[in-house]
Amino acid sequence: MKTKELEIDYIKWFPLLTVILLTLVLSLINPDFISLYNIKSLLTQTSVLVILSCGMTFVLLTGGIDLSIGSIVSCSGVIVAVALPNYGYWAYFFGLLFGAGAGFFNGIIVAKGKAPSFIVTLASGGIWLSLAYVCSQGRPVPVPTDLTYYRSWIISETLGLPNVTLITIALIVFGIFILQKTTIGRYIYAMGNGERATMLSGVNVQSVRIKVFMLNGLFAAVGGILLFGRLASGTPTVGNSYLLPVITSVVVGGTAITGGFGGIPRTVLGAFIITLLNNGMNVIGIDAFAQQIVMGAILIVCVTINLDRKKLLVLK
Amino acid sequence: MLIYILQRKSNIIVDFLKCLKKANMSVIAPVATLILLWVIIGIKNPRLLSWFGFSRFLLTVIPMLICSFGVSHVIRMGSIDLSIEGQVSLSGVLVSYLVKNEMNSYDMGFWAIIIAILVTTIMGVVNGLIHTKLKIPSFLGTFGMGAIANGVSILIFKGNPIRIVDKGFRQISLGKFINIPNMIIIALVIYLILLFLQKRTLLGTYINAIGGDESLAGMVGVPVNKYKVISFGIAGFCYGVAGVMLASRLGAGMSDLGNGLLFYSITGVVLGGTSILGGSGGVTRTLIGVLIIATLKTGLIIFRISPYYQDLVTGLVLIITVLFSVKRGILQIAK
Repeated sequence: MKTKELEIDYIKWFPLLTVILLTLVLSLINPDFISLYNIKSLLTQTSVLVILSCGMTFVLLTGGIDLSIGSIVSCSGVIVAVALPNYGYWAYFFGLLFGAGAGFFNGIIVAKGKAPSFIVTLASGGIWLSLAYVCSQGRPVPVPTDLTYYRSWIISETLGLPNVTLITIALIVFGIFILQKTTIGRYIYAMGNGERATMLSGVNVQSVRIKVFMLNGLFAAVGGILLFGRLASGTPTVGNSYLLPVITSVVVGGTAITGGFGGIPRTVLGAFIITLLNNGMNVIGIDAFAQQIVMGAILIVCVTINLDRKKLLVLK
Repeated sequence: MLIYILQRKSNIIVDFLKCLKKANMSVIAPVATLILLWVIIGIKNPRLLSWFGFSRFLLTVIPMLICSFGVSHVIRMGSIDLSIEGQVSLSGVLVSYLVKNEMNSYDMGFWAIIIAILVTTIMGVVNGLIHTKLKIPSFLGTFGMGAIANGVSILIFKGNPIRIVDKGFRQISLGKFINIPNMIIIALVIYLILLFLQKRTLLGTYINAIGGDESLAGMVGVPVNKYKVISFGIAGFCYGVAGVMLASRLGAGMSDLGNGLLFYSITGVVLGGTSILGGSGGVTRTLIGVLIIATLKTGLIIFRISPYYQDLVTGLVLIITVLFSVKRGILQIAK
């Protein structure tokens, strides 16, 4: 009994302790790290990763996975860039609509078609990527300088904090609210813990699944829009490099792959750990590409630690 | 010894013909689709139907075909391997690093190929071990390993394509033997070996059993873990061969040799009729599935549809096929 309690506590505090530890180490190496300027830029840098990871948390909690977020991010950015000259602020709405629609598509095929989520999202990722290429004709779609006004809400600051951070905080609060205070949040955790039991208890598992994927699509679209704002162009390949860091963030934060355990605060900490590690590796001088190796290894290690072996009946 | 092998192989051919005679829907549908597509293409561009055109077409598809052979073993077991791109890139970069090239003074010739393929086979085995020993779901474990492999290949590659100078090495992809391109011969040999493994050895039967119902197979006495690791190892071997071929064909080693392979390889396997849930299918079905994908791609080019639509078409086709292979009542295209 005692060892079990210790085990749970260790896992619970691991992400927070790691963040504190990394911050200390980095500030020892480079005292400028703690400066206000650096913290602000760190927050801005992490914001997209945090948002995408929060969306993915919903999906992973139900025991699925979404390999198409990279394409949703790119495609929503492209849609906003293409629609901005003609539709003004409505362009952002179109981007969000696309994210929700893509998520809906993913969800309905996984739920109703009973197809494995990794195959469906692998395929739909290709579809959205294709869509992004078609809309953008293969080139980044720039925003004309006279329309910069439309982007200003993304890159400006309010009350001393970058707008991007405020949006991120709002989404984090929203996510925590859904998971902990609503019925659907309880259902999501229940599905992760045991889908068959949840279904037999009368919960409409399919509808929850669809909503989870739609949420993920929405979050990914928001991430795509913020990236668009920062880069001032819609690029069809911008989201490709986000898949690995996002999944690693969620897993490092402590959300178990088997579903049912974890949540948004942990994922946020996980995202910060990833970014701090990246910064740290840059400071030490490790090749940018070697960081991929480190992330892959961390992914495997953390999944192993967080796996709940009792739930593994038949492992695929 | 030679006669023994010849006898075995002719048995396989007889088996193959018997299979076709069975008029099994899951074999007929993909083959019929393939023939239909080729008829359409032939009408539009008859030059492609000549031996020259067809062999050119085959050549573009062979690396992906070999990757699909590898993945089909994993998918038949009910798992999945997302590390294809990383392993292929690693093998290609490694082999071009070790063969005579413009960047360094290594000149290992034939041994470079052995080393590269050995490395990816070992990586495949590690994939299998991560899955069986650490109990990590295959899509995550292989995802992580693929990232590691990709990272290592980028490290070796360091941003500049490693140009290969070794003429003999390039003959692998460019040369012909009795007027048949080398790559087709290599692919044929690998196909026959894998077919033999699948139909005539315990390995093939066990992999089908594990895919069909894993817990049952375990209870009956199948050493599930050992054969899972072997499966992933075979897959790694295939990726290594494909990487070597790609490096040879391109004449240079780059870390994005593997790009795009994951999506198309898996689609090829699924299209051929191998069920995602495992338990049915095999290298022959995969062969047909990959040919369908490649034909679709070629068809899009011939009909002058923008290449941006390729992924869209492939993705839709993949989803539709998976839907049909899971819903058993409606159309029995696959188990």
